[in-house]
Amino acid sequence: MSIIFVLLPISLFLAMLGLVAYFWNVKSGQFDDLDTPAIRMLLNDDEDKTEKANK
Amino acid sequence: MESNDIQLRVQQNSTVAHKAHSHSPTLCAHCGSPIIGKSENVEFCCKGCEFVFHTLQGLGLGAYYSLKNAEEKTCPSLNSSAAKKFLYLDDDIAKRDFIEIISPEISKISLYLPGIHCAACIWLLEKLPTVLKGVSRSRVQFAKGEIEIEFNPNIVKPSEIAYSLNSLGYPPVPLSTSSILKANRNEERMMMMRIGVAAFCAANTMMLSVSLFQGFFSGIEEPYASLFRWLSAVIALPAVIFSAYPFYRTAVGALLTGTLHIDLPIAAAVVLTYIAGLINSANGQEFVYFDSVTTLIFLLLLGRFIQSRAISRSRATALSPWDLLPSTVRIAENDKLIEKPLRELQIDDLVAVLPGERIPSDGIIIEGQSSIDNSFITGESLPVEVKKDAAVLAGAINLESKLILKALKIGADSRLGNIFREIEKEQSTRTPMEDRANRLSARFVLAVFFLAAITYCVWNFLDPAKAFDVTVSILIVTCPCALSLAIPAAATISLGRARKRGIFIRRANAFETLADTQNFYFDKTGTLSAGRIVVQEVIGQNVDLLEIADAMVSFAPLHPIAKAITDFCQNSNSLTKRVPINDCKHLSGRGIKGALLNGTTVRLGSLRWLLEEGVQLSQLQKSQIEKFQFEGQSISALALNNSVNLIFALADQIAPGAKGLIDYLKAEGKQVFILSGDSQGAVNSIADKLQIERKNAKGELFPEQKADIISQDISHNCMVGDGLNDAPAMKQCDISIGMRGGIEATIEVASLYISSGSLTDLLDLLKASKKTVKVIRNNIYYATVYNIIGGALAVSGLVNPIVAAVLMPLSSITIISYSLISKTFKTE
Repeated sequence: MSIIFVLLPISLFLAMLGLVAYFWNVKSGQFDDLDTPAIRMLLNDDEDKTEKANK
Repeated sequence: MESNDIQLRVQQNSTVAHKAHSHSPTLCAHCGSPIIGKSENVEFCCKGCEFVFHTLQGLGLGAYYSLKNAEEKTCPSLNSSAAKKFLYLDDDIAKRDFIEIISPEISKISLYLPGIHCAACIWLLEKLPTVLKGVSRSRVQFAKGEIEIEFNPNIVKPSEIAYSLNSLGYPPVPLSTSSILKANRNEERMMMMRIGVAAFCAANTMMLSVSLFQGFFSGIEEPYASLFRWLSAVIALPAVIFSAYPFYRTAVGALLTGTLHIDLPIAAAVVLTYIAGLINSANGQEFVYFDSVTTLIFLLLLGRFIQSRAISRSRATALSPWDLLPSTVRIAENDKLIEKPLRELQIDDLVAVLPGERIPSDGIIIEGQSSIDNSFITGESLPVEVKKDAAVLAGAINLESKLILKALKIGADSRLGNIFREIEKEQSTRTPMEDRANRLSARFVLAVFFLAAITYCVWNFLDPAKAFDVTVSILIVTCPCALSLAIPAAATISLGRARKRGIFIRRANAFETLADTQNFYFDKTGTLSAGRIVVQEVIGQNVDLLEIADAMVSFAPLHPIAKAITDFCQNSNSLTKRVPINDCKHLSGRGIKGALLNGTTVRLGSLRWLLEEGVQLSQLQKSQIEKFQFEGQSISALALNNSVNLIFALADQIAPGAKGLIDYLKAEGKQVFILSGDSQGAVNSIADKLQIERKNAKGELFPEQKADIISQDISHNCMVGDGLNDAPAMKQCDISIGMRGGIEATIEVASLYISSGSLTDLLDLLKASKKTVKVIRNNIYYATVYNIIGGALAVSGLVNPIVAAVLMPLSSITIISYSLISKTFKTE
């Protein structure tokens, strides 16, 4: 059961990594606009297909 | 370019009527509106669409049409003014306000494009770098309707970018780069971080709490239990300090001003529960409350964040009167016309205004005769005839022929400037409508604190060992979570549904305010009516006469009455040939005169002019005309030689859905008023058709008078309008609704706007507001019942923290689900 003294810090450390990554995302503005990327993704797909077809 | 622009305007204005009279199944290749008229090979409903279509095809961007939803009608609201309109963006002042310089080669400009509405728009706008040389990057922010463009200022000028967007059908409004906007963005990011921290803390304390709960049932060794408790306390600390900071800030603010705010009990609950947890940990008690505290903070922050995102915030800059006037004027000096920037115009200068141009300053006419369209300033639906010595207002459009006028009042001193001052004025001393629900919850939670205090005293007397535990369980079980979610949950869901229908709401409590509104004020022109003159009735109609009329009006293409007659003739579907007219002359402010091939003199124009020319009216015609004039209709007639053969009665048309809307409001027991700048006759005619009492229908009002009427009305009121002339009145209202998101949306006067401009959508919005308020009330009712039951159990010492921990999220989930399944907006 004493393994908990090792596991707890590890799990907390991993969770902290996630939080830091989230902070980084927020600061770089990834969450400023949540609507456009969803649509833009579809548009880019379309374009790629036509380019491949042209080749 | 110039001629193109004029054509654009002419045709753009006719689209509304085209749609209204639609019988033809052919659809416009650009916007999908039905096309009227029987001419062959027509693919477009208007020149505006045709222009955008060819622009796109020419640029190789035809794929726009395959991306676009065919059902969507997107007739471009092409701005008529030429490239010159955007030249001010190249000024040094504009550069400072609107353009961010990143490096010598890269500048950035943000523009607000009210026209963005679908995936195809994003595709098209992000293709800008392939269209316009010098633009390196263009990114659309769909939800805000904004575009951010990076460009090389050495290759392309900001005005050229703005003009390109305009010619693609997206008239742009530049957005200022001020620091307030950056501060807003940073605040939003900060909020996201607070939510992230709260989520992290909540999840991790929950994990430890589960172990503790498990230990409560199956046994746990004290060193581990103690470790879990203290670790929870440490993990919860960032949430309590950093995430919950906004609650403390408002709570302290409320304390300092002595007001009741929902954040006050929330802040107290957070702090007290955390301290209770610490004390229990120190005493080696079983229950700590760190998981409840962190979850509470997380849910509340998340709810608020989602709600604030749902509210439409346009960061468009305030316009000034200068922006609405032509950027240059032609000033007469020593018999020559010199083109100068508007700002250099001086009092007493003589200015030439060509047909189709806006009048640059208030003044009097020195030379020329024409008719002008005042609808922009006063809301008058019919053009006004003007001649020498007549006073004209800045912003009016000259319709027929060149005018020379003497500038008397310029810029801020003009009528237009005065309207802007009215808009900028602080709202009168009207107390904002209170958030009943919020106040109720705050009071309820305060009552809980009193209850907890009393319980503590009583239990201290009965069983001192349990007193503290019982008191804390009251605070947990009656947690303000459900109550404080009651309003945001219902309002946010309705905000999202409204947005899907093109209704943009700028205020969180708009639904409650609308449901409470007693007096509704409507503008007439452009709101209750279509804002365009159409032929209402014709006397003496036959094909030959219509053909003559059609041929004649083509000589005055800018005049609204001529356009109305053109539309009517085209729609009658009986014209077969074009009648040649000899010696056709357009006499400004009077009419058109010409001769048929057989020598018959034909005149088409105002009745007064025809009578002056010696044309005779029959007794029957006289009485018919009197009837029309009594109804506020304008009369134009066609005379062959000396007798009137064809009479057109023209008036503004009632907007579709107006009757249904007014009937609904009356059935709800609301008062309906019309405030219009148009003639009393025209207002009465609309009022009669909509069955609004004549005493409530006021015409001939200046924009300032409309505002006065509203500010003197002490009931909760709402102004619905569409133009600049309504903006001062809208500013004075409890809540104001802009139709079509026109200029008042840009200058942030309207609390919400309906982008379709449809009164049916307004009706749906009003019904939805009523339902939303009902959902909010039910939410509060449910949360209160839950709290009373839970509170009673806790007071009697029957609730243990596990039950409390299950009940708390359950109540919140119930409220969110109920808000989601309640149908507020009519399903499509």
